[in-house]
Order: sequence, then C-alpha cells, then structure tokens
Amino acid sequence: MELYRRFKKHSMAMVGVIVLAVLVFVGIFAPFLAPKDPYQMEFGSTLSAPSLAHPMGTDHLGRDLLSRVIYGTRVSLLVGLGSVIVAAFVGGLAGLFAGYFGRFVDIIIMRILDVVWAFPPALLALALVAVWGPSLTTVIFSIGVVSVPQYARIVRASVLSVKEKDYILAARASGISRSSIMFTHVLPNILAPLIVVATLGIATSIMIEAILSFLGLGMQPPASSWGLMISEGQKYLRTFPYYSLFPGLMIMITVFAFNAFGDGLRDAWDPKLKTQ
Amino acid sequence: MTRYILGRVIQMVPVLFGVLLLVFSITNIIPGDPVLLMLDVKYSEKEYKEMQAYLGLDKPLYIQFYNHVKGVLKGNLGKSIRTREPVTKKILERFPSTFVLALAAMLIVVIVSIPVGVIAALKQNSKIDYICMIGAEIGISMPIFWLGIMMILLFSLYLGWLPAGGRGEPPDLLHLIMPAFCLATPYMAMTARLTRSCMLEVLRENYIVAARSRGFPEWQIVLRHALRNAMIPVVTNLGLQLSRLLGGALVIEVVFRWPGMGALAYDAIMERDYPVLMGVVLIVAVIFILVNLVVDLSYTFFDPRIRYDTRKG
Amino acid sequence: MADSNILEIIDLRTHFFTDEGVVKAVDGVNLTVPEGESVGLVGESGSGKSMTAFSILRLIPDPPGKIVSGQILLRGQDLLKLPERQMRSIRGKKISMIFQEPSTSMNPSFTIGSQIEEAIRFHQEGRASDVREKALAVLRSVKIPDPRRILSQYPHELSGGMLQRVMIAIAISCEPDLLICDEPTTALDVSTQAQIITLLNELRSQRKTSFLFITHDLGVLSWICTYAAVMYAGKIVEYADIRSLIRTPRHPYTRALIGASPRLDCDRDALSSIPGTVPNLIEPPAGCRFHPRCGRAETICSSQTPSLKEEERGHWVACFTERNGDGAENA
Repeated sequence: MELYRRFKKHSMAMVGVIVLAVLVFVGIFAPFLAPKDPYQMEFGSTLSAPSLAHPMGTDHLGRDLLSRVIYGTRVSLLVGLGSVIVAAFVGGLAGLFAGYFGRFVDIIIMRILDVVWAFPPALLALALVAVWGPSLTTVIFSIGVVSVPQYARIVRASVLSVKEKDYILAARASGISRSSIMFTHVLPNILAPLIVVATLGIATSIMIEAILSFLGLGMQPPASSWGLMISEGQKYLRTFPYYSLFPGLMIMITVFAFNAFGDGLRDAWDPKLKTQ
Repeated sequence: MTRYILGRVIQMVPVLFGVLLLVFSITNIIPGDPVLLMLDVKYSEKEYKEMQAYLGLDKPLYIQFYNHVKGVLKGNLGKSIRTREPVTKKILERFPSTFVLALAAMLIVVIVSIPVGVIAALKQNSKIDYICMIGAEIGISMPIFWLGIMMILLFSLYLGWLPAGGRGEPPDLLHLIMPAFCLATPYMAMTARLTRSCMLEVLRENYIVAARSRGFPEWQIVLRHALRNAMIPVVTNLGLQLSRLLGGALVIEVVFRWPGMGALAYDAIMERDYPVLMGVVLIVAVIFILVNLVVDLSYTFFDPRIRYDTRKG
Repeated sequence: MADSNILEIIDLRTHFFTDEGVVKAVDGVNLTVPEGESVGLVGESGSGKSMTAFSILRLIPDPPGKIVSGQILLRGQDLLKLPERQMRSIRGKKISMIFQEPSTSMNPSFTIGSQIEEAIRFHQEGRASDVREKALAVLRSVKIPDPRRILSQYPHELSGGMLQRVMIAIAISCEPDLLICDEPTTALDVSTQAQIITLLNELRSQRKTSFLFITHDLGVLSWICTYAAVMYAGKIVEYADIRSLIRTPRHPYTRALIGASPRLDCDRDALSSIPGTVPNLIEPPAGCRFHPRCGRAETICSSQTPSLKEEERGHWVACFTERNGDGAENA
C-alpha cells in the first residue's frame, strides 16, 4: 500500500498507466475498434485527407490509416513485450549465474555480454535481422538478444548485494542447497529492479522495432507497423504529411507511457535508484 | 596509475576478440553464397573453385577467421560485393561526415543539457523544473527519424529555411543544423536528467553544507563545489553517448541523406552488400570500446580519488 | 550564568514539513552561550541537537525544513531577521562550524590548500602570498605536521583525525567568536578523539572563542564543557554548569543518562540502555515528552508540559516531579 501511495504521488507515472491501459485495450480489441479492414485497399481514394469516413485519411494504397494505426499498436506491444521476455529470461539467467557462482563463470559471462554491449543496439539488431531474414519472430529475437546485457547486469548486481546479506549466510550455514537458496532468497529480491528495467526496456524495444521497420529490415509490408508506415509516408511528405505524422505520434505516446510507468515504479520501489 | 591503464587495456583485448568473432560469425551465417555473388550467372566448376580460393573460402572456418583477424589488424575489412572496392576505403571516405555529425550533436547536448539540468536541480520542484523534465521525457520518447521527417516538413517544405538533406556542396553549417539537432535530441534529454539528479545528489553532500557554513555565496557553491563533483558521472555518460550516437547516426543519415557511415550501411543493406555492412558494424563497435577506455581513463583526471586507486574498474 | 552572553536562543522552533507530517525537530528551545565559555548540548540522536546547531547558521535545508519561530541573538543581533546576504558574512567569519564526519565534509575534488585558502580569501583581504602564509599558520596552530605537504594533498589522502584538524583549521582561520562543534569526535577512534578534544581545549583557552559543543557522549561533554544543556525530543530539559549537572542531575532523563553510564569517560552506548525509544516527533507524547519512559511520572506529567525553571541558582530544570519533591537523591 505504501508502494501504491508513493506511486500515486508520481503524477507522470499515473498518466503513463492510464495511457498504457488504453493502449493495451486498443491492442487487444483492435478488430472491434478499427473502423475498416487495415489491409483493404481502395484505389479510388488514395492519400485522402482526414474525413469522417477516414479520421486519419488513407494511405497510398487507399487503406484506412486509423485502422492501420490501431493494428500497429498490436505489433509494437507484441514486439516490446516479446523481446523483453526473451532478454529478461536470457539476461536474468546469465546475471544470476554470473553473480551467484562468481569467479570464472562470472568473468566469462560478463565478457560475452561486454561484446554484445559494444554494439549500438539498433545496429546489432539490424545485422541480426539481416542474418535471420526479417519477420515478426526474428525482430523479437534480435531485439531481445541486443537487450540481454542490461538485464544480466542488473540481476548480477542485485545477486551480489543480496549474497552478502546475513540471511543468505544463515541459510547456507543451515545447510540449504545452493540452488534452493538462489530461488527462495535471491529471486524475490531481484524481482523489483528487474520489473523496472523490463518496463523501461519495452520502451526501448518498441523504439528499435520502429527503427528496424523504418529502415526496411523490420516488419515487412503489408504489416501495419508504425515504423514502416512512417517510412512509406516519407515518400508522400509534401502532399500528404498525415501519413508519417500519426504513426510517429503513436510511437511517442507509447514510449512515453512505458518510460513514465517505469520511472514511477522505480521511484516508488526505491527512491535511491533514481539517479542511476 | 600505469598499472591501472595497463589493466584496462589488457581487459579490452578479449572483448575486441569477441567483437571480431561475432561479426565474423554473422557474416558467415548470412544466407547466400558470396562466391556466387562474385561470379557471372554462367560459370564453370573451375571458375567457382578459383573464386572460392581467391576469397579464401575454401579453407576451414577457423583458418578463415584467423585470416580475417589478420586482415582486420592490417586494416583490411574485405571487399564490397557490389563495387569490389575495399570496404576500408569506403568507410574511410564516409567516416569524416559521420564524425562531424556526431561531434555537432554532442556539442548541442553539452551546451543545452548541462545548464538545463543544473537549473532544474537548483529550482527543484518549481515550474521550470517540471517543464524541463517533461520536455526531457518527451525528447526521450520521440523516434528521432520521425522527428527528422517532421522537421523537414516544417523547416524545409513549409518554411523553406533549411535544406532538406545532403551535406551541401561544399559542406556547410546550414545542412548540419537539422540532422545534428535530431541526433542530439534523446541524448540531450538523458543528459539533462542525469545532470539534474547528480546535481541534486551532490547538493545534499556534507561538504556542500560545510561550504555553506563558511558563508560562500550560492553561485560559488554551485559552480565551484557542486558542479565539478556532479559532472563526473555526467562526463562519463557523455563519452558513452558519443559512441551510442554513431548508432543513432545510422537512421538520421538515412532521413537526411547525410553521406556518412550510416547511409553507407543502409545502402549496403538495400543492396545485400554484407561485407560493407559488417565493416561498418565492426568499426562502430571498436570505436565504442576505445571511447569507453578513454572515458575510464579520463575519470582519473576528474576525480582525484581514483588517481591512486589501482583496482580494476 | 555569566554576565554577557555571546549567543542567546529564545523559543526556537524548527520544523520539517514531510509527507508523513510535520516533524517538530526543534520545539521551543531556549539556550545561552556565555562569552568565552563552552556549552555542551547533549542528547540522543534524533533529539534535535544538530538541528538546533544548523538553525543557528540558518543552514536548515528548505524545503522541507523551516525555522518557524524564535530568536537567535548573536551579541543581541537577531540572526533570523538578517537578510541572506548579511547572514553569509556571519557564517565562517563570526560563527564557524565543524562537523561530525570529516571525511565527507571536505570537497573530494580540491586540495586541502585550496579549500583553506578559499575560506581565508573569502572573508579577508590580502595578497596571494599572504593567504598561503595564513593557511600555513592555521595548519600549524592545529598541530599538523608538515603543513606544506598537506596543502597540496587531497582529502582522501588524509586520516580522519588529520581531516578533522584541517576542518578545525578552516573553522578558526577567520577567528570566529563562536565555534559550533557538531559531534566532532564521534566518527574518530578513541585516541584520536582525545587528541582532538585536547586541541579544542587549547584553542579555546588561547583564543577566547566560545563553543557550542554538540555530543551524545557524556565523557566528551565533561571534558570540554563548562556548561551543559540536555535535550530531549526537541526540548531542553536541563541546563546547568557541568559540575552540578554531572554531580546533582535534577531531571529524571539526565539522571538516567548518567546512571546508565558506569564510567563517564568510556561508555559511548550509555543512552541506548534507557528503556523505551526516542518519541516520534510528528506526534510527540502529550505533556512532558519523557513521561512514557520516566519511572517517576505522575498524572500531571501526561497532561501538562513542564517549562524550564531555575530550581537552584544557575540550575534550570523542566520537570514537575522535581518541583514537588526535593530531589535529594543523586546518581
């Protein structure tokens, strides 16, 4: 309750939560909310300005932009969530092993992660998608892979600090096995920082997906990805600026919401983390 | 001190090796036979074998990797599949443009964010603070390529103030403004936030209270006593950001048709010219590692406590 | 009490406005420091003694803290009425302060020399070479060996005891009239503590500086102070010269403090052996704030707040039970 009270005081975070709730709702119920079929082409009305029939106008193939933007929510949330799950799982395990076993296990794992960390995330994800061929799954995994180091680091740091605590020593002294200590004591303690990083990580993942799709190595046409739509709209910027405008606004709102939510959670859980 | 530097350099070696290995592996997994790409549509078995040998692809993988590392150390990053030019030459041609762009962006970050962060910290919880921090939050949330497109729309297409792309002939400042600003935006936001929180933290330190107890005026306490200590993490972070900027430059260069490494990589993706793409990826990663090293060492300049500390970083 | 007071605090209230409520850290404190004397302010941590000291220099972090009311008279001049600009010329010049943790109270990024010289240059006119000479002189006066070398060193290169000497050097560099010491020996080991106390005692007798000495350590208190005030939960409960306070404590809290410490000069955890805990300062107990922990509490103690009364000449106590009975028993 204390957590909730502190969180509620964070007004930006509250805005974030509300926006997120709306976005998730829109994503799940996209088929009911979208006024038109997002793939339905109408060659009679291409690049038409916003009107009652098409509140955001239509694209170069006469598809309803509002419907495509609504379906784009699904892609972004799916990629964001999917890649964070991949990254948190792999990175979490890596950090857990590195922190708990220490010594050469730690050195090897952390050096491997340093290698991944050396590449700008978007660029490495791009190279990985180039290898695997662009599709929803490969986009999710590529973004997941490049995000692994963050999770490994935070989990490792938490494990190291928890490891020093008295109750872990007590548990070890009473003969409880290492793995059971790891799961009963270490895991609950690292959950809070992990959730914070994951929330902020979703924002980053959504941004990388947008970049990949914008560059043509993410979601492929006719998928309704926001990044892809901005890229297509760029060609008609002079005559039809709405094409790029609305998807970009959606990315901004979504990323903002996840960031605000994550910041709020972090401040509520541990005000000291604020500076990091 | 010397031991510390030496330790950091030695630590770097396995990471560099790993980077080489990763890029090499990616190049080798990429679908498509590079030998076929180099040959005419009609080719004989003999021609294929010759080309394979020419490219060094007839040897086992570990020999190939050994040769690759040897080549990289000599500055040879392979040849472009499309133009058959050396990748190194192509990258060197493009590097200065990207460097100028990244540097200009960095300059904007430093000039804008540090004062903004300091002011926000000094006026904590005031209207100015809220405006700065909400602005920063928006800056972080904006996709930079979209911001670029919207700026082109406003400043080039509607207002006609700034050129929409390219570097100018000869390169001029006017062409630099929009790409540099777009590239800087998320980093400005992050740096302003970091400056603010570091400043707030330092202002709570005992030595600030002690300095106040000596009657120094507020500006002296802020500029002399607080700022210098608050800047240590900020400067480190700027170093890291400089190398991360190179990643952001990729997409900005595409939007503004800026003739740098990012645009080179993009063209390589479009033409499936993977040696060029991997060359750029490798160079960017190596730059990141080197910048990191420099940043770590520059710590010793900013923080006297570390000068005598020989522990590994 | 002495004829003239250098410092007189009248009904000082410093409150902190937090999310949980108003913390009344200092709640109606009256205290005087006679000219040239050393007054100790003793109490448990959280009793408000440090906040009283910070209030004198107006260094309370605002927000959340605020000096709500009261007067702080330095030779009759109310510091709380001064504009900030004039207050700055008091800090470091008329009143100096040394702090609990010397290692965090020096700026890590500057040499000792530049920090001492900064203070000297700020409050005094003089050429650069004079400033350096002055810095060397104050370092010598606090008995730092090899002061020339120390000037070019950074704080992390010195021990805690050395740093505290440097802090004292900075504090006395402009010859203040009043030196506030906020637990200056707490963070030091016992033998260094003794050295610092000896140094402070010497400085006081040489320079005629008045001291306000904050501590939770009765041993230190009896060693350096001529007068002492006992603080409990934001209020002064007893004030007397140090001999009568130690020999004939009148307030049950003071008695508990002294009774709990078998040897005054070594036991540092005396205060923790009093039953109960320091009260919550957001909603302090009604009446006398000590009554829930007091063995002699009567009904009046939980309803009315005792004020500080001069029970004997120079011996002030805030306790009802002390007024009714004769309080003959000694510790």
